[in-house]
Amino acid sequence: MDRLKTEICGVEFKNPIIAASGTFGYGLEFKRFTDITKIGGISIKGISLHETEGNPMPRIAETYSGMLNAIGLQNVGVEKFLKEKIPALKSLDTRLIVNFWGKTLEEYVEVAKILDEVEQVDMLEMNISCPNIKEGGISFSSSPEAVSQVVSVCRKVIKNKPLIVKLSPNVQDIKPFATACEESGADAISAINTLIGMAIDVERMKPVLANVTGGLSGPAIKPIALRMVKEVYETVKIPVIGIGGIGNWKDAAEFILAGASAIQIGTANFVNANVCNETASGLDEYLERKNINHFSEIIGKAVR
Amino acid sequence: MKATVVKNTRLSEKFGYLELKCPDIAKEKNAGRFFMISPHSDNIYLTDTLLKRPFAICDITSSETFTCLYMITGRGTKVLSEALPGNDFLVTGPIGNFFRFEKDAPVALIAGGIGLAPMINSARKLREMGSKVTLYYGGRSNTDILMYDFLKTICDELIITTDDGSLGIQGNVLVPLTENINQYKKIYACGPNRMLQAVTDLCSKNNVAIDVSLDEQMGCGVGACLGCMITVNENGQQVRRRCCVEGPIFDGTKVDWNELIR
Ligand SMILES: Cc1cc2nc3c(=O)[nH]c(=O)nc-3n(C[C@H](O)[C@H](O)[C@H](O)COP(=O)(O)OP(=O)(O)OC[C@H]3O[C@@H](n4cnc5c(N)ncnc54)[C@H](O)[C@@H]3O)c2cc1C
Ligand SMILES: Cc1cc2nc3c(=O)[nH]c(=O)nc-3n(C[C@H](O)[C@H](O)[C@H](O)COP(=O)(O)O)c2cc1C
Ligand code: FES
Repeated sequence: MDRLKTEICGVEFKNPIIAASGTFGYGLEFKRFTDITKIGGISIKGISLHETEGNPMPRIAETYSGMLNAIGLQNVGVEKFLKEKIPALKSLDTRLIVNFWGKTLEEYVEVAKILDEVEQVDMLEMNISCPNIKEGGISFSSSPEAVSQVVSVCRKVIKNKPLIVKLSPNVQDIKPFATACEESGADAISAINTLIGMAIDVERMKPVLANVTGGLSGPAIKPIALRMVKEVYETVKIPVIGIGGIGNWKDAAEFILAGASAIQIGTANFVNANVCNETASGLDEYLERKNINHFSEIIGKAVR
Repeated sequence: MKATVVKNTRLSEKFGYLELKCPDIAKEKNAGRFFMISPHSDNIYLTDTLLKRPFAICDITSSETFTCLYMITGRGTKVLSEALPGNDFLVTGPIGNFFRFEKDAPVALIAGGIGLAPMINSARKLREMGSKVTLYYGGRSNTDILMYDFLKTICDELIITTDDGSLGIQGNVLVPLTENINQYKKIYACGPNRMLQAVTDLCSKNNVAIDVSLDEQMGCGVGACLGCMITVNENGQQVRRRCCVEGPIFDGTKVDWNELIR
């Protein structure tokens, strides 16, 4: 599948299909149900400095063509991650992206520093869609200035790995946020994270999620994600990784045509455990049928 | 992975069972495990039912086939109830932990409503081990009691209760179980959370061990999404465990019932 072999920020990928953070656990949970070594890369569940318990139950709710989640960034913390999870991933022949986050600027810096030194990690992906507790819980992605600040402090300490910044779609205009990332030293942008939504249980007359609101993902968000990927692609020169509602090769092709240099698949892994590999082979067949030698030839083709 | 519908048998307006062909699941040797099934078949495709739904492996019918007992509660189970022979469904499984039965220990199986599903396979397993099979099975009324004649053939002792007294003993399973609890060393139960909590209380008071099979919302079913957490007490500490991989079976006395009953 040479049509799909690619390089993103100097890191070689077998194909541009990556399993999205939070939907592929610590990398091995799906091992019994799909051949992980054939996937281009995996983005690990968001890691923070300290172990995080997450939100009360219920944490997920199905909605039309999508789902809401309010997991609350539960994770084992960076120390346990390195001790218990990373060793098992060593033999896995796929690219490892570690998604990370913090509750304060200092926490972002600390966790970034630690992950930057880990040999098995190929890239870092910064999740900025979380609240800054020192700023009264206002999100790190509340303004382009706030984004510049958190990206630049992390950039300074990340010396060995390419840095991807993952954008939140919960903003009025995503373009200045993309510019802020590029100017602050991000090597790539991934977009989008989940859209904030809610669901109500009419029998109990209460919100379905204990957290009241949650992040919407799945096919329902695809048109929005596609539009945002196009906008980011038109705004910056660094590569864009498209995410949001991708569930088959056709969806993936749409994102590439909108400007994505790679794509991530999240919720669809729950629907079909083999979706990443089926997407890669479907994309390959599509390119062959279209007489295209390499997928990079069509990045942004639909919007240029 | 796919499962093909061999047969769809309706038992009543609300209940029925599918016989599915899927050797990877049918080869399961333990009782109490489950599988996830996507409610999109090749003749009905509804994008609004996105996620897979968890179902118990109810009965293994051959080296390639097993059954899935369903109760129609929403959109997904409605689709399953309309499945036709030959339809393919995406499945993942077998998943989860299982009941660890000890040979010849005096035990009882307790089922409330659709909680019957994992107990059929459990009854078979106990009999295969040469142990006596006692099943307490409760429902609201006689129309909720499924496959009575069949259950008699796989159990040595079948104790039915209905809330309205239309079949068996009037009341819930606690009524006969309270009388007999001291005969047992261990109880295995599946059903509504309130019933499971009450059975756990009874067991605790009488020093009888209890394993419960819990039902929690699931996203991935493989341990990746952290959407299905159950709070349990381990060594004096409250910890969260994934219902899909560390469960669905937990020691009832360790479960934080306040969180589950909502
Ligand atoms: C381990 C396990 C084993 C189960 N075994 C069986 C079985 O053998 N037979 C059976 O009839 N039912 C079983 N259930 C419950 C069954 O999964 C739900 O009834 C079913 O998911 C409802 O789907 P729906 O589309 O009809 O309902 P909807 O309300 O339309 O479903 C919407 C969403 O909520 C989820 N959901 C709704 N109710 C439940 C529930 N009670 N538990 C978990 N998720 C739910 C669905 O998966 C879906 O994502 C089991 C649940 C678990 C956790
Ligand atoms: C259960 C769940 C957990 C998630 N956890 C994270 C996370 O820890 N960090 C992160 O950056 N994104 C997280 N996401 C967002 C996804 O990585 C992805 O951006 C989003 O779901 C949209 O893609 P999709 O429609 O393909 O799922 C999570 C999504 C889901 C459904
Ligand atoms: S359902 Fe995803 S971790 Fe249990």
